[in-house]
Amino acid sequence: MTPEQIARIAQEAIGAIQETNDERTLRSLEIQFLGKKGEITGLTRAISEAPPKERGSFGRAVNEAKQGVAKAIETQRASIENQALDAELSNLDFDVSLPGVRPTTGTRHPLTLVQEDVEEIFLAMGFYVLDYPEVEDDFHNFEALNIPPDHPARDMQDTFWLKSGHLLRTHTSPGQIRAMGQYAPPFRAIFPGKVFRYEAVDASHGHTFHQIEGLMIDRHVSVANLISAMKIMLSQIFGREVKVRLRPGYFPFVEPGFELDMNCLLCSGSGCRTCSQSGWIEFLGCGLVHPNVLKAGGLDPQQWQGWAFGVGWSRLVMMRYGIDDIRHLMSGDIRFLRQFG
Amino acid sequence: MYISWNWLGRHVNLEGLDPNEVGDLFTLKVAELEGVHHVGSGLNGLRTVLVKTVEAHPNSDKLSLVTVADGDTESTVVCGAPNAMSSVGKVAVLAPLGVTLPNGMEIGRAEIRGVVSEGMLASEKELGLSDDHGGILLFGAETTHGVALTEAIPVEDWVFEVDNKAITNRPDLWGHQGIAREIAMLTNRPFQPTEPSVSFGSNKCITVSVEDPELCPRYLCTKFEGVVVGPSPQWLQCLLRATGVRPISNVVDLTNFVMMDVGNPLHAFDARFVHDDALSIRCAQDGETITTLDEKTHQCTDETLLICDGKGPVALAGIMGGENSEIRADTTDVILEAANFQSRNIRRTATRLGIRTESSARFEKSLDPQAAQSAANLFTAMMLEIVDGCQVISPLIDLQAPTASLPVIPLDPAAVSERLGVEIPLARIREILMGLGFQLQDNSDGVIRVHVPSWRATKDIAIAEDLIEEVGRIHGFQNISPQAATVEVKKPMLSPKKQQERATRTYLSDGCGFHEHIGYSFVWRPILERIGAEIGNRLELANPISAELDRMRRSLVPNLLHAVEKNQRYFETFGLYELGRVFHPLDDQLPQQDRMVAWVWSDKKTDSLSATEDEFRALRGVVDGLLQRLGANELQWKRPETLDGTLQQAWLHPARSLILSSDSKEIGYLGYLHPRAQQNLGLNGSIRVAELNLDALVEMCDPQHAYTPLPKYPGISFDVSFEVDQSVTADTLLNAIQAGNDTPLLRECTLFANYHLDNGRKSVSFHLVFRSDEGSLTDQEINPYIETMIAHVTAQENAQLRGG
Repeated sequence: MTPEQIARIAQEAIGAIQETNDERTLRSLEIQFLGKKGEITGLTRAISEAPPKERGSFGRAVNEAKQGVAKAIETQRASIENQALDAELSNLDFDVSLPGVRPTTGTRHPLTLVQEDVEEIFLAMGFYVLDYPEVEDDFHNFEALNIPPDHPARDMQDTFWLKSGHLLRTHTSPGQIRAMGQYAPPFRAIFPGKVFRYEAVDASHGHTFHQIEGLMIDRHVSVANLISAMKIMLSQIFGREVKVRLRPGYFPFVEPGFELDMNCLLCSGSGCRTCSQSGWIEFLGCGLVHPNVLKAGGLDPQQWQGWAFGVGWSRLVMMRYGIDDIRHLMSGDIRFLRQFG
Repeated sequence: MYISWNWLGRHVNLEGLDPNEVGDLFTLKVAELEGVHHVGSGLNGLRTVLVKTVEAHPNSDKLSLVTVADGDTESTVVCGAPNAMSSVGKVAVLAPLGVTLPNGMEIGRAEIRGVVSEGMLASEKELGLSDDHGGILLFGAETTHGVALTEAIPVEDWVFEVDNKAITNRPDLWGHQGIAREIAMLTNRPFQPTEPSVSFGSNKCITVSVEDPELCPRYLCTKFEGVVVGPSPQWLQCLLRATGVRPISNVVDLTNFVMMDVGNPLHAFDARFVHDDALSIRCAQDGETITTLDEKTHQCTDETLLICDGKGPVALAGIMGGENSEIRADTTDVILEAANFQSRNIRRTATRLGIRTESSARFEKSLDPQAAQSAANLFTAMMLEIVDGCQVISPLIDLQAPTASLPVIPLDPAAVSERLGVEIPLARIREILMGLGFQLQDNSDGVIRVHVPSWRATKDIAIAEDLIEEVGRIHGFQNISPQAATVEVKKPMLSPKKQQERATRTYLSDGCGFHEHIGYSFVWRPILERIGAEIGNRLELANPISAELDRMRRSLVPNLLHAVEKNQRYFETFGLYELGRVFHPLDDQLPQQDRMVAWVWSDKKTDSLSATEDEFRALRGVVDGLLQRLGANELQWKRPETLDGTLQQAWLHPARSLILSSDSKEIGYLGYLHPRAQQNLGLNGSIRVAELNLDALVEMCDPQHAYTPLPKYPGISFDVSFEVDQSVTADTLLNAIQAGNDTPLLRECTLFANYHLDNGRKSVSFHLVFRSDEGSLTDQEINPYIETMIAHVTAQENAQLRGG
């Protein structure tokens, strides 16, 4: 076979290879030419049998043919693969609209979410976070808080009594007395907790709800300091500047005592159903700690002053998430609970 | 409490003021108003008419035909009110055809049971004057009729609804005069108290003795004759109605009027029934009873203060008059009581007897003893003015216990600015305090001596802080700018307990996919019965909200199971957990109130013992993971000690549960719900529970743990499976493997498969790792150990090697 003939075989093979556009045909061509029994492989074996004079040129021609075909196969294979990839890349049958399948994650209670936010806000202002008992005695819940027996202010806090003579705390304020007994002044602390009132349950009242109490004891403490801390707390919880206003409020354990209103976030103060058209929402009670309470806590009112607040923690949660019924909070209904983080 | 704008106008000139604006000012500077209501508006077109005749409706027993005269015009109206029958000669309010009432009702021409009604006679409720819908509104014949209602009667008013809780500390605000004094101050107008001068009689016909001056610091009384009981004048009725008091008769109305004006309750006796004209104020003898004018009979104790005549009790002091001596239509002689009673005693008796009246509500606030005298004077003056033929025949008897002198409080003006955090000039402090009735006396040292007026002195103002509040509120708390505390602040660490709670929540919510629940501290009784738990020694409420919630919880699990009941309607697979306190009674001290965490895991029913054991492993794994997260090591697990169903946790499956303890103190437990409890609860699937005592854990936990260096040389792993009887526990096998190996080279031995076979035996597989710190191991080095171990386990536990 002349080198020209060999070259022609190679040319034809390359031509066939370049016309294929699928891997299987390409593979069969590869076997046909370069396989063990392939045409060009056969020629390679024939090199040694070629007459010595022609062996050089025959061999070169066969090797060229082999390399040319091998290269053509390689090129064509890459091209076929690219085409397949291009086809896949442009094929929109792949359905990306299928709904996601989420990993199983749980949730924290919305009260917890707000609690942790409030704790962080106050930790940054130097407050301890403390926790005190739910079952209290008369002394801590009333007497030490300047509410002696037969005081009409006891009506403001309908009380659950235990047969043992103890009671379920009606507010988180007993923590003021306990904290004063536990820490040396000056100190600052908040104490979030569950509180109890003997009253009928409806959308905005529960017999069990949650409060966060705060107490700051120092040498000099003013109403202006108190307003500042309250504004920081509310603005951070709601993630925006809130307007507050203070008006007289009666709590026997503070003097002066205030009710603090926050401008209604639902109507921005223009008046809506939630704020009874007033533009303001009653949010918390606060004031400067009454000297009798300081005394009951073992502090000398000549030396130490304080401010305290008690905020409706359940109320904060309801405001933040737009929850219209307090009963959801303690329902244990996963359809409700799973909506939070 | 309702406060009438028109009434306030008797004590302060309100001309040109807007009731709503004054109301806002009051809320900001005095006490919260729950609302400002406009009453008697929208009454145009209504007429006062004279009732001429009343006849029965021909076709109805309940309706009547009332003919009324509006001047010369007569019209006939069908009326269903029960008091229409006795209305002849009185003046009614006619809503003529075409008029729209304040409630939106339009009066159209209507035929009622065959008779055409030419309008409607209106009730108080229909006119928006009160909630009274018991009959049509009727006035006495003296009322101008044939004119517009608004012309005849001053019905239009604004009513302040004061939040009673906001004035608990202000006895002076329980009447219009006190409120007017504040409004005068707020609006910078003069306050005009009503202080009539009265000449009393000289007939010392009544004798009074106060046996317990501590409970009755002041008692005034006098006697009237020639009283003709009848209706009060319209203006007075209107004021009473606006403040929610129903007009009854001139004498009774005047006692109410004076109470609502001065703030001091009064009581009028029919003198005919006050035997011997003698009154004594004393505590009841044991077993004594009194029937009050609401016809209820009350058992007295030796703390019950009574007003008694020559024969017995005629009034429950400060709370309610006796039925025997109340004012009647034919009363002619009246004995008036104006007194001051001790707040504590009134409150106790009212609370004990469950009677709250306008009177007791005021006395329990500690009224100013001076107010009793003002009230007596005002009542007497008004009786003489309003009640025809009335004479006061007795002098004003006044028995007064010696009272402490009025407080004088030293006030450092600098302290005012300092405590409020805003600079208030001395002149302004003086102006505010004097405007509120305080008298000031300057001292050379700059400290002002503040004399407290009697109406603020009973309880309200006692210390300098109280005065600072007075200055602050009138200055306006909203005028104080926020000012951060200037003290240097270090951010404290979160306490170990709080860190523990956060770590627990993070683990259970984020790690385990459970939902956090916060529930009641009361246990829901019906659930206890269903899960077989005993009531036992639990804290019991004296006044539970319901019989089902009368005990405190001792575990978080029962209420969680109740929540599972509710959630299984919507979900099959879920975990619900709670962090909270449980309560165990202790003698003579506050109960133990440990913080616990518990969870309930609801899942599909498992189909084999192997799968159930796998599930149990998952539960235990959650607990183990949490304990590790909290740094609680060195805890022991064991089966509950009793298998006869008398576990402390009755709801726990006795054979499929574990108790966790430390130094033999029980810390928690985990396991399957008892099948009987599950059946009684009607729960589906598989229910697993666990509960841990966080307070016990926090004491033994060390969240700081040291790092273990990574191995220097690779180890050799070896897996082995044994077939054993089902009674051989994994724990036993593990111990046998470790005992059989007897080499420090065995570093890990963990179970990786466990399943039950059909032949009553089971297959348990372990993964062993051998490792040396000296160099790489070869199979030849460890093979002898493995062979010994296999021989040991097979012999010891009747095991058969399945692979390895």
